[in-house]
Amino acid sequence: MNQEEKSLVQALHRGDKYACNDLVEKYSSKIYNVALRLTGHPIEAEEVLQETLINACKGAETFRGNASLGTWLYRIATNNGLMRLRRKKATVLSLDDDTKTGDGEFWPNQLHDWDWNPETVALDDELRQVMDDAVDRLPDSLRAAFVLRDLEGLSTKEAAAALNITPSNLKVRLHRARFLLREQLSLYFNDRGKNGGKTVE
Amino acid sequence: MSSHHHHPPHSPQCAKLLAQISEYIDGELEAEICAEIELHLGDCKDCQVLVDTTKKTIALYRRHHHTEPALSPEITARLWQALHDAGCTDTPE
Repeated sequence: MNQEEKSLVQALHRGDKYACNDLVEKYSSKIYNVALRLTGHPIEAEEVLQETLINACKGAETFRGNASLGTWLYRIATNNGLMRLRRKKATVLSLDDDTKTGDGEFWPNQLHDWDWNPETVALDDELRQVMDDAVDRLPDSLRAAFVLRDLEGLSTKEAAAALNITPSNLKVRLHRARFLLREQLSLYFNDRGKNGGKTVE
Repeated sequence: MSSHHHHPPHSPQCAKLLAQISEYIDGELEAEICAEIELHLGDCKDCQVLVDTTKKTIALYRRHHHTEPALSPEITARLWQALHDAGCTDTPE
């Protein structure tokens, strides 16, 4: 933790209401985006955002300083998001059911090259929707690992701490999430290429 | 090249790469293992495609995630109100 974070945590521990304002200013966008990816729904994400910051402002004494403030907030947000999903979904449509070979390892179905650059390909509404749908269809535990590690850029150790799992478990989940998302995007780009190739700006 | 059906890894090297691809991409493997993987990538087109398209998937998702619009004023206003109602802040901003 840097000095700024330490001061903020001390102020939260004292019950300083301005500290809560600082927390909101600094982290609300990040928390909302994580919640949106986790739940796949703007209203759920907004509720997770509110719950998370209320939990954090009121429960600052549970923050022991073992992780960074951001990791602690991600942990609260992820727990809130996953709890909502568990309540909402009786069954989760899992993408990984038909992608295991006999020994339990995944093997790709889609192995055609993508002839474009991820920095320049047009991120239009259609592609964004395809990407969001693919994330939504991931099993919850894989989605959480992917969101924290690849989208929010937490380290393996930080993401594992936020999810309360071991780093090796985090790596396994991330590996599977990336695999499943790559398959979905591969399918999409293959079809899009056949339909006039509007893949590159 | 293109395949739409399940097929087993072509070789034990392919299976090994597949198991380690995430750590390879993240630079979390030892130099010796990376060298082994790179040697295999040199003569396996399918594994090259797998590594390349996995990297592209991650890069594209990052771009998508980081070009999300900022929180709307409506969401922000409701957040301050919720925090105020919960006794976390003195006044809604």
